[in-house]
Amino acid sequence: MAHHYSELRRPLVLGDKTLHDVTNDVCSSIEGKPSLMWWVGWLATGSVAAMGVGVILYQIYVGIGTWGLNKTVGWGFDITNFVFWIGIGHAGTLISAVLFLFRQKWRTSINRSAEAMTLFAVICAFVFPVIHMGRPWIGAIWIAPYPNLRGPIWVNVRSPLLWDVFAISTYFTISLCFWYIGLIPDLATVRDRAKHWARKVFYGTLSMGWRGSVRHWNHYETTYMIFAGLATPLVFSVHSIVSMDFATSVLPGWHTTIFPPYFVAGAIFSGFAMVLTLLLIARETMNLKSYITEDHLDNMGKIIILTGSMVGLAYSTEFLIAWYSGSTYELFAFINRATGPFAWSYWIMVSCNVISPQVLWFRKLRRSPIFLFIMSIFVNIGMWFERFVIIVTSLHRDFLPSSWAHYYPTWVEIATLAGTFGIFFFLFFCFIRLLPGIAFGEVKGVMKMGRTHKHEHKPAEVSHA
Amino acid sequence: MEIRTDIRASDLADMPADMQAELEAVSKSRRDFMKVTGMAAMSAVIAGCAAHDVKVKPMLRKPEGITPGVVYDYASTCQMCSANCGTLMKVRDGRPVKPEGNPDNPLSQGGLCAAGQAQLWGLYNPDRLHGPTPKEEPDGWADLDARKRWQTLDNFVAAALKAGPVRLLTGTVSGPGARAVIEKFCAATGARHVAYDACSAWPIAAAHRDTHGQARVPHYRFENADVVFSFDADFLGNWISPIEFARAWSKGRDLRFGRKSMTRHIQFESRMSTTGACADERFRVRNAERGAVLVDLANRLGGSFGEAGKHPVPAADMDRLAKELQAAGRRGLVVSGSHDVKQQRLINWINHKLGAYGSTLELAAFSQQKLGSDEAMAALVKELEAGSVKTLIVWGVNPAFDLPGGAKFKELLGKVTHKIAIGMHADETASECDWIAADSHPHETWNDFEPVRGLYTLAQPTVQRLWDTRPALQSLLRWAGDNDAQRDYRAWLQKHWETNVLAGMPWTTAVQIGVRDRRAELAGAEPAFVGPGDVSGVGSVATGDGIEIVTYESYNLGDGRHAGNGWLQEMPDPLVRVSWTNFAGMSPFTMEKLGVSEGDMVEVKAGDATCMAPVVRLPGTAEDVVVLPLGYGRTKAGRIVHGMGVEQDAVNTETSAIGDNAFPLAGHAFGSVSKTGKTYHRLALLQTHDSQENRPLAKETALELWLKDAKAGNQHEIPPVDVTLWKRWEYKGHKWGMVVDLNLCTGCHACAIACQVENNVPVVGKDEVWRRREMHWIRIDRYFEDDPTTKYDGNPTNVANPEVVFQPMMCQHCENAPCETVCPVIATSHSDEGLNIQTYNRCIGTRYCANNCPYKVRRFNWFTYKHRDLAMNLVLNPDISIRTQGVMEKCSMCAQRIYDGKRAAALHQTKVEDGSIRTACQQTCPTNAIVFGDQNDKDSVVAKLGRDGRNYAVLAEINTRPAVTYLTKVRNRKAKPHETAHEEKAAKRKANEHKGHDH
Repeated sequence: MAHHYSELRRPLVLGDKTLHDVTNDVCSSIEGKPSLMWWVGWLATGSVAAMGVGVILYQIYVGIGTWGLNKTVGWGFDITNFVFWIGIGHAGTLISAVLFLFRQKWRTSINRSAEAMTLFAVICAFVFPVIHMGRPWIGAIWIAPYPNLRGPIWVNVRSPLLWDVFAISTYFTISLCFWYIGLIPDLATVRDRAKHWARKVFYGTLSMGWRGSVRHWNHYETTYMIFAGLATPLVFSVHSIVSMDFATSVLPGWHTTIFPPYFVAGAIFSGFAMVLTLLLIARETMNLKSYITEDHLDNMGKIIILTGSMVGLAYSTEFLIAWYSGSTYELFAFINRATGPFAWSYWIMVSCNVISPQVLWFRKLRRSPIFLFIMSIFVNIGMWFERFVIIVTSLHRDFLPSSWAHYYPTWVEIATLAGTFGIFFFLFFCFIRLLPGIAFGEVKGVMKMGRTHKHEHKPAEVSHA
Repeated sequence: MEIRTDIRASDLADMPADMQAELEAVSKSRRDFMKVTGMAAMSAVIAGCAAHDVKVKPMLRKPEGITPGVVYDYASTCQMCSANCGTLMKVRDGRPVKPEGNPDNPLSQGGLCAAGQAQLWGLYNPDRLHGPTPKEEPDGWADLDARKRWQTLDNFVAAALKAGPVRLLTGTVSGPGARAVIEKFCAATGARHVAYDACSAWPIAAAHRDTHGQARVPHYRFENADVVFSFDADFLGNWISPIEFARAWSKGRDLRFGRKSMTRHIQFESRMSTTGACADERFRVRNAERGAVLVDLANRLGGSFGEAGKHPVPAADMDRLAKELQAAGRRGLVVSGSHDVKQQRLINWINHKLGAYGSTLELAAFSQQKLGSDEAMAALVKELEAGSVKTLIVWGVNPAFDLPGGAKFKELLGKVTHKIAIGMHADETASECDWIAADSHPHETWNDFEPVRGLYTLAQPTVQRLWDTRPALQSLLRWAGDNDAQRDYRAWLQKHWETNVLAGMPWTTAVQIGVRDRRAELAGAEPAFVGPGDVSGVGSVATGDGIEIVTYESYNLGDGRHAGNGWLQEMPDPLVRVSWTNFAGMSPFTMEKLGVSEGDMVEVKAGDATCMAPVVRLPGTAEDVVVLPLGYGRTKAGRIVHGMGVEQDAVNTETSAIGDNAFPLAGHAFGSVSKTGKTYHRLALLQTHDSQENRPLAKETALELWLKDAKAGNQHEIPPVDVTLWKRWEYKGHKWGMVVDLNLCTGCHACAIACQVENNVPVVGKDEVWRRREMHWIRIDRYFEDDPTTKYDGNPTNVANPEVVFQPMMCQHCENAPCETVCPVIATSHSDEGLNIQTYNRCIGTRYCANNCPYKVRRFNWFTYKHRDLAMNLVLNPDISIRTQGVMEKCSMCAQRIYDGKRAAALHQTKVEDGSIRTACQQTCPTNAIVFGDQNDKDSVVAKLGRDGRNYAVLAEINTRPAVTYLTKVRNRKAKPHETAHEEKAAKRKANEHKGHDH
């Protein structure tokens, strides 16, 4: 694989691992007995997920009147959660596809779990457009443009909600395929190591007859490259289209042309924060420090400060344009954000997304796992509130003051949000138990093993400034 | 299919004789028809309830002139209050589906109020008594059939009537037939009749007894007045006959169709009322100071009534206004809702001085809409205290609830040996009686009225009696021993009318148009003014401890009689915009002074009377005044007031009944307001922000500016940019549109309730309203004028005496509808006639359309709002489907009425005449503020108004191109500085634009 490896670079895998060590390290988590920690986590998140499913069924049966929405605020937690989860889903594809195309080798230790995270986040995101409908039992079907005998009645191609359907389902499909193709060589290794017949069947089926021949690798590399090419525009298109749910409306605070880049930056920002959250946990609990090194953390910290600053720029641009537009409604929408009844949510958003990442200018802090973990939680919270601010503060006070209203979420909405976190982490726990959590086939490619070196010495300490 | 509307007198004149006979036959056979179809419909639902011996049979032979599925209109009289407006009841397949105003009624002229629109709730209300009800059931009661039960009751009454002094306590009874029945009853039993109105106009009658020798309430003719001074008379809201007055008032306020002048309306009042909200100038005068203002005014008009006390109206204003009133002369009118007879005498003197009697108010053809006598009631209470009344019959009034000191009345009832109630409900009074003779609903009986002397109206049944009830008049006839009249009351009434009322008009005609107007015969019989009588001390300002208490008949529940009506419970107070509860309204400054904020529970106390209510802001109310609506706090008004029976159990009450009764405080001028430390968490407000935030939404200007520039107050600050990505709609046939005149809207909410009844809009209950989920398709936005110099500070109504503007807001049916583009499944779409159509069956409920609606008029079914009781389903309009959980709905511009109108035109092969299709809101509007029609028809009213200088579209700058437009509100007063500044700015802008074109 990689032939041009600068000796000035720090090694991407630490600890003088042999190729066999790598395989053993990664496979141990799916071959041995799960740890107590895993069981606790699996059961805890599973219970929360089950509660979430129960609450979802309850609100579908009784009606979404169980939420706190009203005639003025038609979207609240539902679409906030949707955009939040879709945003989370962005980092995975970005790491896998975009960084792949840019030959960022450090991606290999984290891309598998980041992609898994993408899929699980999109699954969680999928829940909300479905359950936010008043009649999901027919809505989930009628949203699809299928041939019918009623006219035929067709979908409205002018509606951004329909674009959403296509954008997200495309994104999910491509991400799934991309992820799965990347898994095949590793699955084959797991199959080859399997002793129990059931494992042989399970991993044998999933690895689709991979034998590791040169021809296989050739096809694999080509396909992987094609999918990376397909997935890359999706990283930008999905959240651009999601942002059009708002940007194409007439509502002050939504009707904004900067939304597509602003949303994409925000999505990458939140996605990286969530990747950090997950990886820092995995790194600590599953002894992956050799693979997810401080350099990884450092790199991700840089992306976070970049995207966080882009988001901050977007926040200030919105205010500038609102003032520049000369529109009463537009200006009011933004002043209301910062000073109205939901000002607290606006300032949570600003503190978490703009102020808190600024500390990452310091290299030492970028390399401190505990600090990064706290910061990533802040960004996760901040990015959830960003969507809440955009949706709720714009809706609750729009054109006609007579209809201005407040929005109080109910326990059902909070439980549903918690439930999707349960689903997300539950799926992640299942994933690290069932599938190789690190793409060891690719990790091996970025190791120094088997490479000829003229001088046997440690890479020089090079400042990254 | 043909839609047969009412047949008017004018139509009959040109009608061939045989056709008249046919019509008569229809009218006679109608009852039989009811028996068949009505029972068929009823019995399916209320099986077992109807014990009538009527066979249900299929309609093999169609009754002549009746087609199943076709709506017929029956002229009748509204009995929701004693104003007795004319109604046309739409009846379909033997059941009434929708009341409309009767244009042939010379008083209401086609208007109907919110309560009138809501009358069908009462008909189908399952809480109505289903038969005679004893307080304690006699032995074997359960085994008796309906006839035997009535017999048992009648036997009890017969014995009771022999026991001694009998008193018959009723509300206002004005009809010639009804009064004859009462006379008959009194003659037969020796009973004395006492008429009682909870919210009476007795001081006016008493004052006229002194000044004109006749205890009469005059018939006010606002249409003849150029200048109206109102002292706490809420004549557009709840005073005597508000619909009639609103229509009359609107005639002088209408600036459409080239009219260039406007009447002057000056209001002096303590609380902010809808009438005050519509006035040109409004002065905050506490009740205690009212006399001083009156004396001041009278003295300036040439009287000498002593010194006027200190009052808040500046002398310069008094001088100016007095001159204006004097100049108006006999076209001036002073009215007052004061309960002080001396003040009323002074008002009579002023009106006499102006020469207004016979012009703007009439005593010959006087009003009989409030016949209750406070004196007679007081005398009855004395008799009850003395224990001299042995038998008391209470018909249709509820003094145990609404007499100040009602609790005492309940005790006094205990001293009466035999107590019999006639009523539809076991209310607070009836439930204390030994027997309740279950009254039939007005829709099940014949009745007659004489709301104004010489003007007779009829009420006719529109449905077979639902339960084993007996009309009150028939009960009285029965107890008077007149069995013939009792058995066929209609025949008796017809005979009585033919002898005494009709004077040559055929009975059939009277039934068809519902009205016989003989007021002309009374012309010239005005009683003479005999002198002002005793008006000493009127000018002094009453002083008292604490806060002034102002109670008023609530706009939705009346005096409490409508408390069991879900539509009216959910109708908000037009000014406070709160529903499902009463409140203690105060000026924001008084609230600050008392240290209370909105939602705080306070106890208003005077003497030993108390009332608990949440505080709400009512800007424009005089300082140190607490305002309490009457009518809340009913404990025995059915399930609704206990939080049951409404959809989703949504009525979560914090006290057992909704609100607290304010009647005990009604007699007190001063009292105290104390905090309880509790907060009323679920204040069901339909609007929480009071200011327009200086946004050009409900536009207004002053008359003087408008006379200079027809577009005054209505220039675009940001002109709409007419850009579209898509091809324009062509609208080759019709293009429906609506124009709402803000100048005429009084905020009465009749349109809102009419719409709710017509379109099967659910009642959602207090909790859901609190969550801001009311379903009203048309709402009346109310804005208090902000001080334009102050910026938004979270408490916008920072003006002591703000002006108010009402803006009816419904789906604007935009040409570039923001809702249409965003629906993913095209559940909302544009018709080729300009309607924005909602396809319920297609809707999946994403709510994106509602979010994207700049007017926020879309309503979402958060749950399936079902009627708990199946009987209530009969209230649904069969023309409209009902909506289930998860579906968006909104104003359809009464699409069903448009289809009906088009179908009728197609059948007659004519074009759709302008005005032949009337939406529900338009039909009921007492001031004709709403006009609907075809904008493509250049001669239609709606097209003409579209070309009016005052016409504007709300939020035109976002280029939605609405089909509903508004006409600027014009106030007949001096222009305010900001209004003049606006005009100057607009002129400058225009000049600049002009310059731009030159280059």
